[in-house]
Parts: sequence; structure tokens; C-alpha cells
Amino acid sequence: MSEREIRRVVIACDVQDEIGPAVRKAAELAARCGVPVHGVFLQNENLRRLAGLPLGRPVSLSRTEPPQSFDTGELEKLFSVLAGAMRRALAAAAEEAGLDWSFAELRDVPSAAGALLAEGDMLVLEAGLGGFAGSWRPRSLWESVAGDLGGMVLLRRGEAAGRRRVVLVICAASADHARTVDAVRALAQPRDETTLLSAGAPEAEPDAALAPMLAMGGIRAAAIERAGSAAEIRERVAALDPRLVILETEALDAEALQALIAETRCDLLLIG
Amino acid sequence: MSEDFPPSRIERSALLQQPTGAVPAPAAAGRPLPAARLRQCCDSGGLAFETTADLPDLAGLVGQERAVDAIRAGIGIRHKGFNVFAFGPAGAGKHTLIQQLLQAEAATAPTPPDWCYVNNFADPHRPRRLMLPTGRATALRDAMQRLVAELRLALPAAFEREDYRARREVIDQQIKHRQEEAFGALQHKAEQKGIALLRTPMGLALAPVRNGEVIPPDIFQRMAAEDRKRIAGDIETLQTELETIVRKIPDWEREHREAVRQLNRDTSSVVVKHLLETVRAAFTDLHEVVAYLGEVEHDILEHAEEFIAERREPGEGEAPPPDLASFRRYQVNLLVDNSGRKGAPIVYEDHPTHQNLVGRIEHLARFGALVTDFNLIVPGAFHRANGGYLVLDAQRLLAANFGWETLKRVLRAGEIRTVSLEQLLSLASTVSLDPEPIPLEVKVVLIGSPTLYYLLAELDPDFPELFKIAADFDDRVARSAETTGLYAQLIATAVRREKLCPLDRGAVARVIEEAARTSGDAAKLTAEIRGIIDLLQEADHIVEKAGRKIVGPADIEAAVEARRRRSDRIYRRFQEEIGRDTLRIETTGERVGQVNGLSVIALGSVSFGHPSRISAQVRLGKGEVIDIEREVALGGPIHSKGVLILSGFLGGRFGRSGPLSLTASLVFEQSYGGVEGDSASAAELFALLSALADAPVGQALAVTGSVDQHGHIQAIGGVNEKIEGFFDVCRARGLADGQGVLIPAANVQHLMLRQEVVDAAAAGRFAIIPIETIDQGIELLTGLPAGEPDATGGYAEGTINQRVAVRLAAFARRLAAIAAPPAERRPRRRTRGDDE
Repeated sequence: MSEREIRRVVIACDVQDEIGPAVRKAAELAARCGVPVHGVFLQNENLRRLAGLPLGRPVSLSRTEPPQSFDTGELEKLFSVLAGAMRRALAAAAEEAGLDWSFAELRDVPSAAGALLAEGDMLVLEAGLGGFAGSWRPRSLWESVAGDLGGMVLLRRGEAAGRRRVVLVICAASADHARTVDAVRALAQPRDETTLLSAGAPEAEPDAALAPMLAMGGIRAAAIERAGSAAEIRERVAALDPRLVILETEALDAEALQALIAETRCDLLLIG
Repeated sequence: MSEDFPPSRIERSALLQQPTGAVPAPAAAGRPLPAARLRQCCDSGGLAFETTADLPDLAGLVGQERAVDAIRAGIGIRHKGFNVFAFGPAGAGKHTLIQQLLQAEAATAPTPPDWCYVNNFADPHRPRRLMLPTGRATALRDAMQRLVAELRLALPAAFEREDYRARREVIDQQIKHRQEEAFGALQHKAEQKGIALLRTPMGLALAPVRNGEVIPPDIFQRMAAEDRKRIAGDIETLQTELETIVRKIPDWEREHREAVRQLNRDTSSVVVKHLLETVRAAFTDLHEVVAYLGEVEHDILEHAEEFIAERREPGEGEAPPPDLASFRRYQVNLLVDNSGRKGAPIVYEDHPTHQNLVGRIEHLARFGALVTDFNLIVPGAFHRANGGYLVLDAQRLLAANFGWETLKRVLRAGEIRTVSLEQLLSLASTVSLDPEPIPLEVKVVLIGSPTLYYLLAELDPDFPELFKIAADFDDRVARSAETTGLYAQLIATAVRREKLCPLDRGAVARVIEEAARTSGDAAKLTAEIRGIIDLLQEADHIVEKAGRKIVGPADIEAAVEARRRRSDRIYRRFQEEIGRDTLRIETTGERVGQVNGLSVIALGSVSFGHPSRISAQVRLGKGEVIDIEREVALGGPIHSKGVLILSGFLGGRFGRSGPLSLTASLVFEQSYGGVEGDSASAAELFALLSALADAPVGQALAVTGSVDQHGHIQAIGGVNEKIEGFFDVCRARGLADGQGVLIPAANVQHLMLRQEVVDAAAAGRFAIIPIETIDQGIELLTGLPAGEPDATGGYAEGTINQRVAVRLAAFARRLAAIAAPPAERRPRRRTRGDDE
């Protein structure tokens, strides 16, 4: 495999994300792949609309005083400041890594981010697991839309403690594995153990096509398993407790995909 | 003056001839001393050994019985304040003797207990002290180290067991379900009403949604009023519920933490109790230790999760695990370990600062901050000496940073409180440790100079209370057959201790002579043994270079000479300038009103004598003797006192019938530094009498000695150096007949002159003449009889005293004539003796 399937790393952030670390991680990934990095700052239209509504105010656990005011003016200022910060962080990270870079602001709802992607883009989204209160958290902005964006979307959750150094590749029989192989090469680390989980009918043999392709890319699959249903796939994910799941989204239907996104705590690369 | 005393000048030089003969003649005032009296040699034949290798070691010092008794008393009395201040000259062997005495006492004293500092779990800023029987503190320290090591393995293992994980999962799920149930129900309720729970930079917010997106404000405004009102009402209700849930979260979290902690306690309890039981079993007889172990157990159970956390790699954004520092609180800081010691400790602290005495609290730099704990308490000299003896140098103690104040504070309090200087002086307000003080039982021995002792005794009111025993070391010991033998033994001991070549008898005898010479008294031996050891080392070097094994008398002599040569630059410069007549000293001929005085210059450890020209001038005046040295502030008070005394003598002898009508001036010619001491007062009086009597003084003689108001010559110091100083001048010019030195008869016993001086005296080429009175001296100097007063108080014609009296009478007449009214004045013929 000589030509790379990943041609650009796109990092998208909104006001909730920790922009600095997110940009640096994306730049590192781009450097590993040897591709340019593109930054997108999302001016979340939903927040703008919320700020314009004469309704309830945000509730924060950390504040004991009455709910804070949240108006459009403040939000616009915040958008402006954070967009500038992201641009500067991206420039610095790209310069340090010797990468070409570009930057854009997107004034839309999160689901519109998919429209920005070109062929060969890997979109990196921060979907940290930090709870709002205790262990409960409202669903991440990006988690809600990741399944619908198409292309290659990496949901970064951070490296939670206790994750085993396993990269689980869930492949669909009908998919073109070229991007998957390239993604494994880009994201797997030397100490990782790669497991293939082939989704298909219960009576079908595991899809063995991916293993030799990985081997050609220098990656040896430690195990090749088969999962006949979405439930089995989710069980295996829970049992293996991997640090990274690479999923060819054709392996699951939309509902199962959303459930998997909601359940997993590790990094998740969707290849649609 | 006795009649047989030779009155004429012709006979004077004959008088100065040294008596010959093998048998030393007894010393007679006014006559040259026999050579045997000029140096009291040590007869090597009287020493009953071949070399120092034959002699046993000497325990202690020679002739310091008083000091030894005092130190023994100080060591023996256990009451408070009976500490010892040992003082005496430097190099007298005080340290060595004290060490020997303390070692003897300490060997039979009980071995003190061990001391530790451990964590105070109730108040970590106040570490607890633990006293354990000798040698058992090490066991406790090691046991606690093992305990922590075992807990770091056993506790994580306990927490990795399936039953723990299952119970923990249940607890975690409980709170998770609680939260998810509450928020989930709210979220579901909101969704039912077309309202979404959104995360904003300010927190959670509720907003009306349509197709998964927030309804834009303009559309919302175009909605029917009742719809808007309904949505607002729903949001208001949901927001109230959301706030209620949010307020409950801290309580749920607290309950969760408590549940986890209880689970951890239960899980770790079995392991901890089992492991601690092993430690406890070894210390059941020590209640304090058992109580401490109880606190350890409680603390470990409370913080069991720290043992688990260190095994886990932190995830991104997670706090790092507690490092090994967190287990430091279970360590034992073994402050004083007396295991292996027999008897009481003897500690010599050569840098007795505050911190070195009471210990210090060190700090570690962590993440840019300085932190400390009880493990960083470092013991001081008091800790190490507790139960034994602490030896300190008084001068260093006083010069050291707060050493003296700290010593007093600790001795008064009877306990060691480790506190930093910053805290002591209230210079720092940062939180630090305040370790529990350790009770102190120690005997302090200070070693210093007499000056320090007397200054402290006078100026510091605490001193007599804290140092009730004074051990006064003598600077010299009496020279007798017994002490000579002991001194030889002392030399032998030093030779062995310093690993030097042994000395033969002759060398030992020569060293003893040098010891007498150093003491400045032929009848004494110096107690400053360090100087003697230096001499032995130098002689050893000479012998080694020569490839020999035994030190002989010539080696000692060579060492003495080498020492002298090294340090005599200034002396040689004086001699050279005298030889070149830059400094005018006459050693032949006669001069009126001029006498060769002798003085000693001390430069550090070196002192030497040299002659000075003392001259006197007399003139009409009001009976005063002007000390030019004093007038120009070059004369010290004792010198001025000497001049006033000789004035008293003059008045007493010649001013009984009327006031003295003269003014006399006395000066040390070519003296450009200060003059102190009264050892030249006799010479000054001789110069004055010579000037008054117009009687020339023989310059072949030099004079030293002080005088009292009755004309008695009194002893002075440095007699050997003074004689040798004049001898060297004369020898450089070629010894001539009649040369010598007049010394006080009382100084004869001090004579330990260089052999070449003795040899010159034996050959009749240089005389040392003791004198007891001014009259004896003036006769020797002028060759004229002094003259005894007759029944009328007059003196025989031609005597010195008669000539002085006549001169003074002439002054008086002249003064009376000047003082009389002009009409009464009559011209008269000038007679000899009148002032010109």
C-alpha cells in the first residue's frame, strides 16, 4: 500500500472543547500521516439560538449563585476569542511539526461539519468523557452528530485509565478496507495488539481479506474474530476494553452505531 | 657598700672575668655567674632508659593534678550545672587529657537509649519522639520499612481480588444509576415536551428543539403566545427540577466516597491487621511503641487507597498517583542509634553552631516548593551526646552562629528542642515542624583560654550557674627529678602516638632543656606540649632525611636551630642594623648618661631580645623626671610606672633635705614603636645617676631589671632572650673584654641560655652578673664606688652618690638664686657641679 488514504487531518472544535490540547493532538496525527492539518472552529448555531431565546438560564454545579446570564453578546465575544485562540494554536502546532495548515470558521449547527469534509479527510472531534456531575454527563455535542457525518471521523475521548492496549478493528464484509488499513497504520502504536472483528452473518466465515492487507502494511492481527450481530459486537467491545476502536460503519445500522458511540469510552474511529 | 668591693675602674674588668674551674661557684650578687649557672642542663645519665621505646605510655599529663581533680569532680557530680570549663594555655594537652578522662568514665557508664522521631498522625507538624531501649530503634525502623513494602504489595493485591471489584462495582453503579436515573428522567421528561438539555460554556441549559436543532429566536417569537407561554413554563419547571438534582449531586458524591472508603477499610483491614501484628509482637513491652502502632494502623486504613493508586498508571487528565513520599509518614526517623555502643557517648563538636548543636530540619524541593516532614529532622551534637558527654571549644562556640545562646538555653531547659534559627528569631512565619523536645542528660565540657573563662565569669550571669567546675591547666610544671622522668614518658607517649622515630636519652634530655627554656624558667618545664610535639616532628623529619632510625641530641638541636632560623628574620634585621650602626649600640668605651638597656620583642610565637640605648639628660628644674616615651604616647602605663618609681628612689635618696631642683629626661633612643614594661627602669636609673654624677658608664655592659623605690633590683621576664640579644651584638663585633649583662639576682634561677653564650661565659669572654641593688649596678657600670651615707647623711668624696648629691645641691642653689628678688642676688664664682 503505497498511496495514503488519509490526505488531510481536520480538527473541529467548538466552545466546549479544550482547544489547545485538541489542536496539538491533531497536528501530531497529521505529522504521523505526513498530511496537512486543517482547523475548523464551529460557531454552534444552536448556542446562538439558545442565547437569543428569552427562556431558562444555564445551571452549573460549580456555581452556587443563581443561574448565569447567557446572552448573544457574550456568546459572540466567546466565539471570537476562541476562534482566534484556535487559529494561533493551530499555527504554532503546525509550525512546530513542519506541516501545512489552514483554518476556517463554521457558523452552523454541528451536523453541518460533515459538509466541510473532502475525500481523504480524517475529521478529529474531541468527545471527552468529563462528566457534568459525578459520572453522569449529557451527550457530547460531537457524539450526537458523528454517526451522520460520513467519511473518517475520529472521536477522541482521551486515554482513560485501565484501557488495555488493544486496537479493535471492526470490519464489514462489504467495505473497502483501504482506508481502514491506512487508519490502523496511522493510529496503532507499536505496543498495541490488533484484533480484527469481522461483522457478518452467524454462519459466515470471518472476513479474512483485511488481515493480509494489514500485514502488507506491517501490522499483524493478533486475533481474528467474528461477531454476528450488533449486540455481539457491543459485547466484544466491552469485553476487550480496547483503547481504540476502528469501525467500518457499514458493519452496523444507524441505531446500533449510535448505541455503540454512546456506550464506548475509548477513542473511536468511524469509517463511513 | 662593703669595703672589699673593688672601688677603682682598673679593677672593674678583672671583676668581670668568669671564674674558672669545674665546680660551679655559687651565685654571688655583683660577680659574674659561673657557666654552670647559666643553663640548667638535663643530665641524660640520670635518665634510666636507652630510647623512648623503652618507656611506657603516660596516662594524662605532667603536673596538672589540679585540673585533673577538677575534671574528675565535674564528671562525677551528676547535678545540674556541674558542667566543666577547662582552661589553660593553648597546646597544653587539654583536649587529650579530657578525652582520656572522659573515655575512662564513659566506659563504665550505662549506654543511653535510642531516640526516634515518628509521625504525629493527629498533628503532623509536631512529630512525636520515641525513646527505645538501646539497639531496639533499628528494629522498629526496619520493621516499619518492611511493613510499608509489604503493604504496597499486599494491599493492591487485596484490591484486585474479584470480590473487591464486584463490591466496588456495585457501589459505583449505585451512584451512577442514581444520577442517570435523575438526569435521565429529567431528560426524558424534557424530550417529551420538545425540550433538549444542552451543554453550554456556562453549564446545562434547557432549550426548545425541533428536528434536533434549537428553535431559532425569530421563529420562537412568531409562535403563538400560548405555545411560547407553555414552553416557557415547561422550561421553568424543568429548570427547577434540574437545579434540585444538581444540588443533590454533592451529597450523592459524598455518600459514594464514604461507601468506597468503608469498602477500602474493610478490604484493607484484614491485611493491615495481620501485617501489623507481626510488628507489634516485637514491641509489646514498649507501651509508647504499641500506641504508635495503633495510630499507624488507623491511618493506613484511612488511606488504603494510596497504596492502590501507586500501582495504576494515570490516565490522561487524571491526578498522578501519590509518590513514595506519601509513605514516608510510616517511616521511623532513627535519630540516635546507640546499638553497638558500650558505655556513654563522648561527642566533640568542632563547629558548634545552633543547628549543629540542636539539629536541623531539612527541606526537599518538590514542584518548586520546599517541603519537610519528620524524616528530615537531623540530629545535632546534643542528640548524639545525650546520656554522655559533649566537648566543645569555647572560642568556637562563642564565635559560632548563636552557639552560646543555644547551649545555655538547652542546658537550662534540660531538653533538646530542634528549631530553626528563623523560627527562633521569629524571622519566618511559614509553617514548619515543631518536634516534641527530647529530654537531655549530658555533661558539657568547654575548653578555652583563661581570658575567655574570666570574661564569661564576669560578664555572663548564666555562666556560673551552668559551669560550676573550673579546670585550670597550668602553663608550666615544676622541674624535678620526678617530673623530668614523667616528662620523658610524656615525650615517649607523644612519639608513639605521632608515629615518630624514638629518641635516645640525650635527645630526651635536650628536649627537656628546651621545655625549660620555653617555660622561661630553668626550674620549670613548659606545659604547652603541642610546641614540644612540633619539635619532635621536626627532629623526626631530620632523622628520616638522614636515613636514621633514632633521634639524637644533635637532631633536636638542629630542629631548635632550624625553628629559630625560620622565624628570626626580624631579629636578624635588628642585628644587621646594629652592625651597620644604623641602630647605634655601643659595646665598648664609656658614655655619660647612656646605658644599654635590653628589651624583648614578641611577634606571634617568637620573641627575641635586643639592646636599646637609654639616655638621660639633666638640667635645672622643678624636680620632675620626664619620660619622653610617655610624653609622645609611646610609653605604656607599666613603663611610666617604672619611671615614676625611679623618681621616687631619687627623691628618697637625695631629696630628704629639700626639693629636687632638676628636670631629667629619659628616652629609649631610636625607638619608634611603643615601650611597655618596667624591665628597663634600672637601666634608666643608671643613666640618670650617670648623668647627674657626670660619671661615664661602660658600654660593654647591658642592663635589665626593674627597680623599686628603695633601689632594689627586681626580677623581669625574658631574661634569656635579652642576654642572648646583647650577646649576639657583641659576638658580631668580636667579643671584647668586660662585655656582659647585669641581671636581677632573682632571675638567675630562670637562666637557660644558649650553649654558645654559656661557652663564651666559661671562656671568660662574656659575663652574666646578678645584682641586687642599684648601688651594685652603678659600681659595675661606672667603676666608681656608690658610696654609703655617713651619720650626717653625706657621702664620701668621689663616690657616685656624693657626686649626685653635689650636683643636685648646685641645682638647688641655682634655683634659689633665680627665685630670690633681684636685690638679693649676688654674683658668685662658678664651681664644678653647677648647672651650665
